[in-house]
Amino acid sequence: MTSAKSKNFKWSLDFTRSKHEKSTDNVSPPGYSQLAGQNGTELSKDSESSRLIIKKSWDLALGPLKQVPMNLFIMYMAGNSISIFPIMMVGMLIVRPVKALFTLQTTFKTIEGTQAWGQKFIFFIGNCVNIVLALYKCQSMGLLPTHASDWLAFINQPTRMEYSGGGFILS
Amino acid sequence: MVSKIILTVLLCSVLFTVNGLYEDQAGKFDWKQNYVGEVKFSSIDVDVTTKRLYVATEKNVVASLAIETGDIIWRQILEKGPEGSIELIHPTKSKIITVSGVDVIKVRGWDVKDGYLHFEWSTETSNVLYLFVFNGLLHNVYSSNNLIAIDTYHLETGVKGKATYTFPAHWFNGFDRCALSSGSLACFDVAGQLNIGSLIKSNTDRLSLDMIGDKIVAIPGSPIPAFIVTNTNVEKLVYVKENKVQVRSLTTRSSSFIYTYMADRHILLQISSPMQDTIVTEGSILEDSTVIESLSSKESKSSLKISNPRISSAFCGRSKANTVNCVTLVSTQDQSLMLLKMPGSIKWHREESLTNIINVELVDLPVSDIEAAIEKEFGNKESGAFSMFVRRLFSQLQQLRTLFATVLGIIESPSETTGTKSNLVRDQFGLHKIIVAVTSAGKLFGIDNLNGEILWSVLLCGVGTFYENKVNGLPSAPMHLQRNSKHLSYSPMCTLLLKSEDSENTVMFTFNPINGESKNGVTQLPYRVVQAVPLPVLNIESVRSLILFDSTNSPHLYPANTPLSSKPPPMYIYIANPTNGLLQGFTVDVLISGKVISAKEVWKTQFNKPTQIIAIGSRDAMEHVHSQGRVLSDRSVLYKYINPNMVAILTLAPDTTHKSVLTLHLLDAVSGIIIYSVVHKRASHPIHLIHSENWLLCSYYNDKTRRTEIASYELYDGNQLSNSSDFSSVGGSLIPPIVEKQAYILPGFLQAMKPTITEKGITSKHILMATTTGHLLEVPWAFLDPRRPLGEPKEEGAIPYIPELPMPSESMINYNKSLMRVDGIYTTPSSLESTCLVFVYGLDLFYTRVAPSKTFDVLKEDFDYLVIIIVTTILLISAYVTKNLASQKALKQAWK
Repeated sequence: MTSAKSKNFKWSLDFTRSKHEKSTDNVSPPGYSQLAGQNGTELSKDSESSRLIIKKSWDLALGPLKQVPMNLFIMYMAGNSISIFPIMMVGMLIVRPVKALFTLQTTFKTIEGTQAWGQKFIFFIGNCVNIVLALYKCQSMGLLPTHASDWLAFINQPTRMEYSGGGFILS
Repeated sequence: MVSKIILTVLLCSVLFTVNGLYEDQAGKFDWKQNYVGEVKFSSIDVDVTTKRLYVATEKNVVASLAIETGDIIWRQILEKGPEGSIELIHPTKSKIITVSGVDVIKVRGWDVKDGYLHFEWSTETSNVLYLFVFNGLLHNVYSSNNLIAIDTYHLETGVKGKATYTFPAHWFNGFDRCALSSGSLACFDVAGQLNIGSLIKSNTDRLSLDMIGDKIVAIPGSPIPAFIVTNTNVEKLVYVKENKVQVRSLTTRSSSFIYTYMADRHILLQISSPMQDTIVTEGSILEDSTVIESLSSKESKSSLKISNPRISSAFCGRSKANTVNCVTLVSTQDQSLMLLKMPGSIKWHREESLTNIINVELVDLPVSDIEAAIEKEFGNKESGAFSMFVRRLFSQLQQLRTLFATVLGIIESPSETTGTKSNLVRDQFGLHKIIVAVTSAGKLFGIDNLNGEILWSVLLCGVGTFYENKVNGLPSAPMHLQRNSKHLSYSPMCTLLLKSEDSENTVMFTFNPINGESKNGVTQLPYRVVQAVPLPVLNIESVRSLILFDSTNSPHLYPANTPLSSKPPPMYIYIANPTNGLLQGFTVDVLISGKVISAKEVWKTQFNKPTQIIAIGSRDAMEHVHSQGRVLSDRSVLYKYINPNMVAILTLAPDTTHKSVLTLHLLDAVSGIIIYSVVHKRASHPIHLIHSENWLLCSYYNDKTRRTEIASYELYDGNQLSNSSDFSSVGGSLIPPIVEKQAYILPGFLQAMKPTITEKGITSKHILMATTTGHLLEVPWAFLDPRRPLGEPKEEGAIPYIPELPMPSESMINYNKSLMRVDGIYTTPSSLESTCLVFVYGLDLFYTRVAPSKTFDVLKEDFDYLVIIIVTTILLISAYVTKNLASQKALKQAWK
């Protein structure tokens, strides 16, 4: 008996327990294991997903910076001649980061947390780097109006302060 | 090798910018009129198979004209100047023989049919008094050692005749007192006797007659010796018949001609013009003064404007009705040529004075009535709302009506028809203008620029005489367009400066350039104008006033005492005197009230003898410079030095070592500072100068290398713009501009040179060059650019320096219409930025238009309007149809 008591089988019901001996713990229904419903694993699972989210959002934030080497390569391959394909590439190089900057809020809408601000900043910096790169490309292609000659057409003919006329004497 | 290929490619790429003309474009927007010049000698060939006229003119041209129409059948141009001046023509059965030249007389025989040269011989002569042909021998009458000697030559071979006749020379006393007619010389002697002696045979008797006269003139082409003696306005006809001198008094002042009618009967034809629009002819038998009724006529035509008609040659015959008929070739003082049928009328009329154009202006036409109505509607602001609305409705109704009429073909659109007065309206692109030409014969012409038709002509007879250009001795006619056609309430106004005929003062002749009308247009000024400069502002009557400088250097304003619309900026006037080499600059104060206070001399430059000022080059007042700089290969800017007050002065001085030295001075007309000077040694005439934008071109004949060279100069401010907003010649920095210079060789000789000009100055500049070979060459300025790189080109698109200028046949814009004896080229902008109108004058008139940067603002002529209309309509229709189909399909899908 004592052994049975001590053994306390899983599937055994002990109807011998006295009233006083009434244990504080109720008997779980058959097939119910308290361990199965334990909260410990649940807690560990929660921390794992948030870590993933942070990882993912960092990926997102660092994306533009990761594109830089690729962009550099494209720029190198495109060359400095002005023709349709290099122009299209440079256009894409400019338009994409600008678009990304405009949609910054929507991109980071789902992302919350302590690091969100930093991620946004990094994302912003990355896009800015891309824009600067694109502008550099424009500059090397000669597309930026940075020279005096680019503004030549806007210089007006100076007004005359004095008028002159004449010629050979009429005789 | 590679560089050569690059060079060829570059050259080709530049050549493609030169506008060639397609075959079907020839004559589409250009026209050419051929002229012969003022007729000196003529002869009528009435052979039924040919029916031609032969003329020799002051322009050294021998030509054959059709009697029926006056068209030129053939034309031969002899040497320019006195070497080619025709002294005599002699028609034979198959040839026209001309004798030309002064010291070396050249005798040439031309085929009557086609003008080919049959023979030519020449001989040296000196002191020639007269030349005449008798019996197939050319008689050369000359004076030597107090004798009048006569050499004879066989006309066709030039073989000298046997003897040289001589006469005592004492009774030859000047061309005024002597005349030669039909081989007889008539001279007044000191005792008041008229001696007539034949020069054909040495031993003829001398006839003499008691007669006093001021002047004796031979009747040209007379078969018997006949002279007109003028004595204090009384004219007498003196003629020799059967060795007897006969005198007949003439009643009217008229030109006479004697024609052998029958063996011993001569007809005296007389022609006069008592008024500009009337011609009176008279015919009589010379011997017995019987008037021939059929030859007497009086004709009046309002379109006719003639002065002093002169019969050049005549032919008479008897008609079926047994009356005498004559055909006379009449030339007038205003250099027109006409064929007069007696009895009858003028068969044709040629305006040969157009070979002597001295000044040209292309004037815009006024807007059409409808457009004027619209402009007035917006111009009139004080009228009420309702009346404005009514006027608006009315003008739109009118527009609608013309639109319908145009569409239905009742009236043609104004740009297509020309000539009639109602169609003289401005077209959309400003291509239709009127050419106002002043000729040295004293006749003004208004010519339609689209077809060359003469719209009006005005004879300046009795108004005044022309000023004289002291540099080349030719007449000059300063003309100013004082009011253009843009001012609706006023008619356009053009002013010509003339010298008074009876005093030293100046006459202003004001006329409307559109129709030639002149109401109270002659203004006698009480002073003599030595310079006229238009003001930059208009007066309240929209007239561009002229500052007139008189001979005492005091200024006047014309029209005087009319207030100006705004305060004029400070005015500076420079006057160059080629006779004493003095250059003076004055400042003039003009008040807004239209009063001129005074002129002060500001600067003075003297060119000492023997240096002579030969040309002044100033920029065209209409010119705009669009780009203020030039982009270099490193994308920096070289700013142009554009000084609107800068003028180029060319001086020529003889030199002991270098023959002649040509100097170019760039002078600021306001401050008198010489900005730059350059010397060309051994340079001589012909010299042409162009000054435009910030560059100059000077062409000259290089005596050392014996070729025409064009020196090109370009002025730059540097890499910094000194003052962008306004330009002042005084008080500014005195940093001299950078001058780029280069010389080019032109494989030919220039007659005239002119740059193209466009409205805004965006279009690149081309230079039009008329060469002595008759070509009109359009050379891009890029070829004459002094910055053409030596060696490898550093700048993109720069053409490497090659001294010889190319003369590709594609750039000859007059294609096969050769232009001989070009006097000048006139260029003017149209309303289209791409197009520049060109008028070339000289012996021939040529008008065309050029587009230096191609017609970038107009659709091409062969643009397919139909296809574009069809394509757009089809696209529109299909878009609607597919839209409907798509919506139907969507509806069906939704119900499924």
